[in-house]
Amino acid sequence: MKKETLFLTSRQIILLIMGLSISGGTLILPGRCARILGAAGWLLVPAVGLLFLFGAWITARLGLLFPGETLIEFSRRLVGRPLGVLVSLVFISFFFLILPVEIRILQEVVNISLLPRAPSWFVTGAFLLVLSYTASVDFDTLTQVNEVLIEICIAVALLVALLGWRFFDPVNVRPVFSGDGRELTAYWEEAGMVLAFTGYPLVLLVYPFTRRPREVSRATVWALVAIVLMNTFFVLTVLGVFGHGETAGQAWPGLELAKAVNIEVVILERLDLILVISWLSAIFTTCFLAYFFVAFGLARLLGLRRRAYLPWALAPLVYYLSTALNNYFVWNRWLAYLSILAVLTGLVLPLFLLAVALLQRWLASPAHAEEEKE
Amino acid sequence: MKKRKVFRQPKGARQVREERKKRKTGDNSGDLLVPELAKNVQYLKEKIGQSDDVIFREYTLDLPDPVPIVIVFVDGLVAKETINEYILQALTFKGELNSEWVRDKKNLVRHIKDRVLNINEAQLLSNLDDLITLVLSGETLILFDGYDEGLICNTRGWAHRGIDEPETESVIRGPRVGFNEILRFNTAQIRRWIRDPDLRVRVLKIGRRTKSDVALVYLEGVANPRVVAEAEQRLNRIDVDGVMESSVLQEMIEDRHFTLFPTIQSTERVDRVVAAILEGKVAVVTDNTPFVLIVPVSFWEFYYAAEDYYHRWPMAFLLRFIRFLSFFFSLYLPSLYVALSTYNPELIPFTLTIQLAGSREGVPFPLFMEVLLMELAIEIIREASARLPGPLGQTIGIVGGFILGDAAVRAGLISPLTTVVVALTAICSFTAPNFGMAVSIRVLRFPMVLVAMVGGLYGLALVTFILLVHTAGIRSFGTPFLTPFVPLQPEDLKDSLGRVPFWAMITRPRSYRPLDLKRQKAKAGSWWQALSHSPREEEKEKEE
Amino acid sequence: MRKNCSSLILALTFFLLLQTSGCWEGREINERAFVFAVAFDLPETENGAKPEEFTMSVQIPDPSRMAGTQEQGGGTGSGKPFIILGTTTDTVLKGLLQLQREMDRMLFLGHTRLILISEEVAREHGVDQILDYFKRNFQIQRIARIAVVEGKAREILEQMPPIGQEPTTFILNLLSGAGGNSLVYISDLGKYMVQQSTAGLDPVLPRIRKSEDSILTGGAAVLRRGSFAGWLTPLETRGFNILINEFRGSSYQVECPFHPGRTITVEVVQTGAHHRLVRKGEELGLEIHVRGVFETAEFTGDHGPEERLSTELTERVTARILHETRSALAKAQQLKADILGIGKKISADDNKVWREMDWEKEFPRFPVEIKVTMEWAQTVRRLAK
Repeated sequence: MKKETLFLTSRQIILLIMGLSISGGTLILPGRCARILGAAGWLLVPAVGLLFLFGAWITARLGLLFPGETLIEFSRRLVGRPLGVLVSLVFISFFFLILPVEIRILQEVVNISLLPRAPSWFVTGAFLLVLSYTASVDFDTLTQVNEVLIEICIAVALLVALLGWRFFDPVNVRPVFSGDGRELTAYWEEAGMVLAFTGYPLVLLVYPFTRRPREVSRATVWALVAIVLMNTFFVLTVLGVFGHGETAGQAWPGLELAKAVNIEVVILERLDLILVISWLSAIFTTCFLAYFFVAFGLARLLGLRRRAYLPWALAPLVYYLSTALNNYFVWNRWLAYLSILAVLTGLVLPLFLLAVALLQRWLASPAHAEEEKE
Repeated sequence: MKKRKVFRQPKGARQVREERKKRKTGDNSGDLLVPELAKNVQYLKEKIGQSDDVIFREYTLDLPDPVPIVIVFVDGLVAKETINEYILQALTFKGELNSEWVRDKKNLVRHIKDRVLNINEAQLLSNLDDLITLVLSGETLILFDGYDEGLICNTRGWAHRGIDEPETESVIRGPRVGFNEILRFNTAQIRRWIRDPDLRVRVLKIGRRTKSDVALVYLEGVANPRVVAEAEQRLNRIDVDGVMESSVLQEMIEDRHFTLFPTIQSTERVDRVVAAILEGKVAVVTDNTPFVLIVPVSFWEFYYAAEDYYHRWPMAFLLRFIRFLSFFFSLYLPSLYVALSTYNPELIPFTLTIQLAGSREGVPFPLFMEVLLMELAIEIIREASARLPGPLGQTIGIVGGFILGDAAVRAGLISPLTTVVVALTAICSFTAPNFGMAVSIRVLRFPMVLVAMVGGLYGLALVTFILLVHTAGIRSFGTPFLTPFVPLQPEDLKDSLGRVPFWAMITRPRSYRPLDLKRQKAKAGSWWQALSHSPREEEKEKEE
Repeated sequence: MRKNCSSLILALTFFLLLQTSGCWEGREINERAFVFAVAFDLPETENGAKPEEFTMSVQIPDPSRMAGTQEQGGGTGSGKPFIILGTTTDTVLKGLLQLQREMDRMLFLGHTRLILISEEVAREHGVDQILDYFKRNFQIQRIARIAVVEGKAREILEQMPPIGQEPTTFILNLLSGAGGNSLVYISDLGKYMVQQSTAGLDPVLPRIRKSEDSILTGGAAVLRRGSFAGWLTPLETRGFNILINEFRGSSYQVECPFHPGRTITVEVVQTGAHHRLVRKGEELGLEIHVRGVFETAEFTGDHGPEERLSTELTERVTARILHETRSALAKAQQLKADILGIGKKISADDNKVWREMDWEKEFPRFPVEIKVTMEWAQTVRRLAK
């Protein structure tokens, strides 16, 4: 039987965007917020979120103009072939560069918790193998796997956060404006937090797989709202439990939270490792989606019919890049660079493309033609 | 590569159907009967007469113009009384000799069929191949001298087993009937349950040599016609010499061949098949086996038992919970045990850790080896007790499991906790109602222990991802394998981790895309709304 | 076809990976030495010991003695079910390495539940410096208990508990306030880390000490700038617990208003302290209002609860609690350690003022007013004698 393409529901699209956004960075996010704004760091999440909500709205509008096509096709038509290819490449490289950084984060997390002193080639290599194998699946499987994994990790994260509320101290999240944070020049180190919000550019690649484009647009915005709410809650909890001093000093405040809320005398003693394991799946979904869309985008761009071998072909490159990020400072800098790309794909390019599209429409519209006649 | 593709080119459903039609109407090039009895008999004797169980009974019709006839049947496949009483005795024409038609020589055979024989199912055929197949299926052929049509009478009647309670799926409460090896009985059992004019039984013949009957049973107007057509097409595509058991068909029509998991349900229970048909699925009943296939199926259904529906609904939650928990344990317990104790003992509560460490003191093997060996031993014991005759099998189970395990622990070969873990896992794996699925899970356990040894919890997480991606990619006749959880189908959750009361099961499962979704008349739109509209409340509302 | 190809690659690599097993920290569970407790002391001998050195003792249970299976004979009786190893070192990790040289099994800190620091080490080296390694190691649980020991820390580990097999669980239970008398300050590593890194809050750790042949808890150690500053007595600790809302019930003896010399024991069931910043003119101050409920538990005289007793009894209980809380506060101000988190409160409520303050100097003379309102919740079981 020919596999019927199951059209994506809006719920699945929301979860796709969340799947790409929620990743290793979420565990670092509270620390970044605390370092930037101190006790009021949790307010930073909705603030930045609002900015990207605008970006998501723009992206959704843009996608709605070309419901049957992906970005790869319509950008070429919109701004000409060379420029269109360039735009597509920016998007693809954004997805691609997520991979080494995320894999690096994964390796870090695995090394501090699950497999101390395991060599990086083992952790990275095994993960890349699994990724390459799984990234060659079809679209339905992708969405379904993402759906279940991301739900599990959201559930675990919320459970940890809710348990954390036993230790919540409202004094810790005040005052709203204190300026306990860093000096302005150090802010770029924390720029990586942007990545917690910018999963939504992927909707530009999924429009052809949906039945009602309008729903996708709504889902995009809802997804971002959900992400912002979840992150705010998480950051608020961490700050409330630890206070900003401790939070800022932690490399993985999210994991520390799980350690702090450990319940004694249950079958598995440590909640933190449960969080780590479920967070592996968050990182997995991020990489899985990114890898899939890289292969998918490249195949569309180059006009390839089969894309199953693309992940295998790209794997050595990803491996090389991830090993190049040898320590925290290097990958943190990479995260900052990556967040520039994220702003580019999430805000600048959609805005630009939307402007061009609207302008073209206006030029082609009869109203304009009449005006010209007059 | 290309060559293989051509070779594999499936026959389209229509093509196959046309071929069959041609055969039925007899306009093919197959041999036909000729009006000479001797030639016909000679032909048949050449074809099937060399076997001693085929009986050629010569006889003469005592008519004004005597007509020699030959009766052909297979000894053992026919009910002899039927032939004696209703064919041979009828052909003496007692009281009929004076009738008008006796002189109508031209239509004699037709008259005999219509007026003389007391046989419920009789027809005239002239294609020799068809006739041979029918004779070999237990029907009786009567050949008349001077006529190019043979009279074929249904006299099937052979020894068979009665209707027993299926041993593989026994229940505490519920009907105790199972299928047996006779296709007709089996379809009749289904029919006895569903007295609906829309119940369709479509019989196909599969197997070049065995020519086994395979029946597709479904409810017209409920089952998705695309699934029916797909099933039929896949069955027709099969071209083998014989079908020993429905598993042959199962392997040949599965969506995904390279997977450990069965993607087609098989059962001996009539009630399960009936329930499935009512849900809009298609049953494939095969002759000579009590195991009936059901398509499509989702992964979780292999963990549903018929009994979940016969006890009251809160019980179903407990039963299913136990079963899903056992599923999880039987897949993960040994590997988790290895991973936790080798890499992350901090996850184990600390008094237990000490117990563990103490019990492993002096055990010669590394933990994963210990677990693997024990698992292997359990498998061997299981296999041995399955092969041995009934009472002996139990003995082996006790001797193997109990005495061997205890002795191994006492001798210090195995730590007691490993025994506990492995035994628990084994017991858990036996809770699976479907044997095929249980075996797949058991097979998976071995590589998982190895992975746990190399990669600890990290490795297990990766394996889980692979398994998830693999199973999510499987379709069973177009239905996603992990439905209703992945993709989430909230309507179908009514019958998943537990089951809501029957009055709240308003719709058929959406995952199987039935044509007719409504199962009962209810005010509520979905089961969660129905839960606040119990039948009694509705009654009360009516009274008011 | 494609699918099978990638499956094949996957399977092949899987078997390659199998070859590499056991290169890293995977160990059989009986090849690990579980460190249950760590104790820090100053070295015994004065000569030769450098000032930056301390001794570190670890308690490791002997699994074969402790495990329930007594098949091989002689689990109980023959010696202690644990061993204690000690070494002199200047950093924790170095100490662990030195200890590892004596052990064939890998020292494993994932189950470390108790860290004992002797008073001298806490004063000389600073708790913060000692705990640094434990903060950074992910395996250490945040719920590990820390206590400051009055006397030698190692002696506590060596003490066999009256009930049970090994002392760690025993001490852990003592430190978790299992008795519920509120004389113990309850803390753990996570709590300490939070307190330590919060501006305007100084950490407190529970006190533990060895008396002749038992282990006593009660009281608390006040830390300032990461080092030991002084003790809170058990009663002060109780007052302190009331002030920071960690009071879990305790009993008080007060003199009977009608029968001088006789006592009435009351049980304070619950208290709630409300902190509020108040401004009197230019000066900022803190007002702590404690509300509480008590019950009468024991009369030594021949009288039962009477109505006219109520006011007088309430007054006396209030006075007792006021005294205890005030002495706790006074001790804190005397030790110059803001264990109440007043600074944190100011920072949250009045950040402008906070930033202009030099809190370390201001705290000892910061005006704090404590009000106590107690209420007699008469859950009377007996009215007569």
